[in-house]
Amino acid sequence: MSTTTPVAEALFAAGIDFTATLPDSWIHKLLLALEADRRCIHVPLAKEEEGVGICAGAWLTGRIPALIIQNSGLLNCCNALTTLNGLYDIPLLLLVSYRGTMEEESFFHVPLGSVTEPVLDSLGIPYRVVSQPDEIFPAIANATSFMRTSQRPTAVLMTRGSLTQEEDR
Amino acid sequence: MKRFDCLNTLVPQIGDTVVITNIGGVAIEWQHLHDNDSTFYMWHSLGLATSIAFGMALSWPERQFLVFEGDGSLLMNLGGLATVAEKAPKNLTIVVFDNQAHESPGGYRTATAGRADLAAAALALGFPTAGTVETVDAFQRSVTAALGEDRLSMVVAKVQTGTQNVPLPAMDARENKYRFVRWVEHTRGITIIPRPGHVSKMRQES
Repeated sequence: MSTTTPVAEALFAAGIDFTATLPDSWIHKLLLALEADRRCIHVPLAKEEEGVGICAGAWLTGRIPALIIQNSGLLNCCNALTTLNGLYDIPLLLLVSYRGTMEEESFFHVPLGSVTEPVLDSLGIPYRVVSQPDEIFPAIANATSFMRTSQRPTAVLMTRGSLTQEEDR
Repeated sequence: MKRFDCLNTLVPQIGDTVVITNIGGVAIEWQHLHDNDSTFYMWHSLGLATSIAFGMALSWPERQFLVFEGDGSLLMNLGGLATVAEKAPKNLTIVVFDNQAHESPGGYRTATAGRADLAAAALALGFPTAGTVETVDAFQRSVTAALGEDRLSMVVAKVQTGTQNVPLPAMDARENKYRFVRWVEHTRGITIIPRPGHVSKMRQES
């Protein structure tokens, strides 16, 4: 399939068959690929937190979900990750474009860089930061496997360097 | 109109429809009236009851799903209705018990006590059908029709505040999750919670 991307293929290989997304320019091609691919249900969101609920419903009825968002959206999800996933032990793969680190070129993303990992630490969500394209496949495989086994959310933070094959601008 | 009287009319016709409840009095009342393995009670995360039910409806298209929403919770996540309307799963019915208040924390009024109209909002966001009812008879007729129709629908029931004095549930959130998931695993013939890896490997080797 011509529209697929390496990250989309990593998701499918890990067993992900349900995705809920909100765009970020770094993951633009990935979202187009998910929308076009019948190997997963793809739900475009109005706001990230609803995606936590939608993915919980999907898992409860047999799907393996991923919420694919920017780290600003991760901050929007803190309550739901705590009072839904944390209350029931419901798993979720959080696949997050990691804006605001030292690779960042846009000043308005900078505040996100310093809070993202401490927030995940506070929420008790295990995560991996990937910085090279070839790190994404094993990181998604491990995070998906562990979220299912632990019945808790896991996260993969994708820096710009890891997404060089996904960008189209 | 009391929410409890509305819920009571649904008990004989709920059949194998999966029910998802919002937090608060509606969960307590429904658990008393018709608790079973295919009921999921949301205990926190206000605003996400419809989102959870929507995720279920997309994931299991052969089943009918019914969610009991509230006015305060729906107002928190109105954008989520647009998300639902875009996919418009035919197997999802949303019943909004609109008591025009955040009742649990003390009865503070919501915008539906004033000018907000949730059925009109749903239609504007793309729902194929949505309406408001103010009597128990109209409620029963509308929800029966909605469950029988093969399309996404919303029924907004204008109810008074107040929760029936029924026993409080003895089940916590994780207990509810395990019961629900085991029921889905059994009914669909699938595995949701992975079995222990080392045991699976031992079996393959033996």
